[in-house]
Amino acid sequence: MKREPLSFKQTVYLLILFIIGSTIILPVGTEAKQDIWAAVLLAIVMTLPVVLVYARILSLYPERNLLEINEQILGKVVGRFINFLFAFYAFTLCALVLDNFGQFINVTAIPETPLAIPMLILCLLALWATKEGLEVIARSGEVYLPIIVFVATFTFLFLTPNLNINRLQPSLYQNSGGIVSAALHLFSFPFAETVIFTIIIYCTNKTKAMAKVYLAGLLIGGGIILLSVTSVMAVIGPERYQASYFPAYLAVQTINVGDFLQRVEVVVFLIAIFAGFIKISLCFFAACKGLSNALGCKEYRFLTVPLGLLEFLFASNLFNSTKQMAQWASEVYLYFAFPFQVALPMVIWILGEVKRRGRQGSPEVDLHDELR
Amino acid sequence: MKKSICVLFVFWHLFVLWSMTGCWNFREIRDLAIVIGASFDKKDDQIYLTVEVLSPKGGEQEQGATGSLGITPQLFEGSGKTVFEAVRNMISKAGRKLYWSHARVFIVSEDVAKEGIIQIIDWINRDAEVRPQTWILVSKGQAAGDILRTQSKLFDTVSMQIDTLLRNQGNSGKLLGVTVGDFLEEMQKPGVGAVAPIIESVKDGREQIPQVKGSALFKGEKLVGFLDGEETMYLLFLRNQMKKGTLIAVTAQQPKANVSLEIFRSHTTKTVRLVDDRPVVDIWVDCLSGIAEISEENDVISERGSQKLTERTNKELRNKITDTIKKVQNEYGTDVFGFGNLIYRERPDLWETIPKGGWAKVFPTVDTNVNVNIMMRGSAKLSEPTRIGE
Amino acid sequence: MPSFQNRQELVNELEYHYFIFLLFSIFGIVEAIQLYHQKQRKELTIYLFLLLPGLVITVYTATQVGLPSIAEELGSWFGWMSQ
Repeated sequence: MKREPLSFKQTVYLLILFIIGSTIILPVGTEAKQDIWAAVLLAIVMTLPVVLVYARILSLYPERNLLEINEQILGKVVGRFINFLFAFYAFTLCALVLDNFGQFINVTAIPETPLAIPMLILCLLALWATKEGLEVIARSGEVYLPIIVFVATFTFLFLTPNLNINRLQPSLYQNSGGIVSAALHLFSFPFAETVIFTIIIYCTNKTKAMAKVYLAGLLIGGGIILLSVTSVMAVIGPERYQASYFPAYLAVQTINVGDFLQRVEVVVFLIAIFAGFIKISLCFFAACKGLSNALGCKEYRFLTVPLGLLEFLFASNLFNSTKQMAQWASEVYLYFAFPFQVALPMVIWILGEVKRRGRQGSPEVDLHDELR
Repeated sequence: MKKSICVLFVFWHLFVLWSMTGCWNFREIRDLAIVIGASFDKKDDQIYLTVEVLSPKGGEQEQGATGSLGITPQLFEGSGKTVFEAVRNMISKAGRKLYWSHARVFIVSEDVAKEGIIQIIDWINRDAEVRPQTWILVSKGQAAGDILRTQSKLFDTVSMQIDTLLRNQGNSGKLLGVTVGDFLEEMQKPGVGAVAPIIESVKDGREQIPQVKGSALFKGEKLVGFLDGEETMYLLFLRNQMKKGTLIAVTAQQPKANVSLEIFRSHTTKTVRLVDDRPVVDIWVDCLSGIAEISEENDVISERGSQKLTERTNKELRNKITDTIKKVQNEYGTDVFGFGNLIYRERPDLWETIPKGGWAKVFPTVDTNVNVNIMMRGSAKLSEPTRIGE
Repeated sequence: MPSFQNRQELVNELEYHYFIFLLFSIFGIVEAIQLYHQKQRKELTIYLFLLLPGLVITVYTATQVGLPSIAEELGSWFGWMSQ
């Protein structure tokens, strides 16, 4: 398979954009109400060991991505079957994100246009990006992230007059159930979705870099999410946050600087579409790669067109209404994603460690253990 | 390889030309009726909607001496069982589709507000075109549609006048402008009653003009009572929303002498404590003000006089604020001051002990303790009262 | 799903499905020919095996009104959704 090496910076950028992705527009962690900041922090802490496991899996087999590692650890048949499952997960995730964006654009901006049109356009873009290869996505990520950071910073500054700390009170009062539940949801969406990255990237040269990449991406992306949801909560309050499908949009609507700078909701679209494009492309890329591996093909690019069509059809027929989408996200997604985000990586990791020790029979490792 | 790409491109362009002719629901501005204000009335289960629509006429406007844009608003009425039906029914009268993004004010009649305002505010909040930054007002005693039928003297449309007025409310100190978004938030938050300004049409000379004064108090979604302009000022103090305004201090009873004080800045702090298991709300009003007018020749500027004036004003303001609280507690029973929310935020353990929905019963019994501290700063341009020569 | 208020809306709805169908057909033909010329039989088989059902579904969804969504179907199978 042709290698597409990414630099450290590009990988981190992609991770950040992936985490921001659709999270920034959706009402995540509504159960925590005004304590959402605590839920986000808890979710980041919960995700840390999991991403370290992802990083460890990749470090075990340098120059290999998860698909190849699976084949090596689990054997050809089982490995390919697992790869097919991962491809299915990536495919579904892509459809979900695509659906989120379709609904977002449809509900807030162009209610009379069929839902499928914005989805189709995003899907075609993702198809194209995947066909061009990972490097293209990575480079566009390098262009997008500074723009997003710049715009988001200004939006945040303009939003500061509307921030009201009262809306975050009472803080941490008998709400641990809500916080934990919200943190679990935040864990499965978006933080642990970074499992997709194990399919896309692989470890180069230094073994430690993988953990660094993951940690940097998670902490920066998580920080941006923390800042954005907390400020949105402080602008519109828990009641309206919970009631609306797209709270960030509502919050940015309140911006009014001297009666001059107002109606800047479009910046939410800017941020969301840039980050969402990256997320959709990466998921689609992972789906194509996983499927091509599962079917034993050397190339993945020829799959983009038929899979793109299926992706679009899947996404556009997945939900009939925004309500269904929200319900699915809050009730089903957690359980659906758990095997892919935690269970399977754990199994692969343990098997990988065992296999490596067996392979090396290594006195080196034993010595290391004794020293401790 | 090359050839197939060429073929693909040719076909691609053909499709683009053939199928993507313009936006999906492309609308010219001349096809839109831009709504700038709307009012909601209710009669016999029918919602009557009156909208003020701008008719964009490029080029043919008259440049009036007043600097107006020469826009002539048009009024349309529609009715329906729900707001949305009324909006859609109006197309048959207006001929164009109403475009709501630029709406500045929504006026709700007293009757509708008494029946429950959710039937209107839900649509405003739900619709993609309507913005939550629109002002909401309650028309007192009159049909809301009549407000839009009044004449504005300085502005092109009544809605524009109300909008500008509410945005400059800071200088009056007797107005409390509320946007739909804020209104909704207050209605949903625990322990707060929502407030909206009152609008009336009054006779001024020969014409009927709109006047915004006082505030309407809501209990849940229902209107329960009104406060007049002066009481609204104390309400502003209590909600820490006072920006600028005037205070009248009476310095002598006989002969009656008034001093006008201008408020530069005001800050209110509220805390809650427990006395015998009952919540007591302490209110501190810190107010920076200066003398704007002295009606009689009396000494209020010297150190002694100033101190006396401050004391008098403190006492007077305290009494009036307390009276307003008492009035709202006893007559309306809706917590527009946000005492409940204060308890919810600062003493959530205490809030737990109040049964769900029981705050309305507790609120009238809440004791308050008002402290006013006025700081005098300057006396405008003159250093002395205006003296009368012998 | 939309209940079409007038003919124009129906035409619009049909139009974009038609557009998708044509677009992907063209893509498909071009790429399939390419794969055929490169003698990648396995890839060609997979390609057509994925693309043709997609096109069929596109046509099917274009002609149907009020299809239940996938989430609804899954929900009714597994009892996930409360509806």
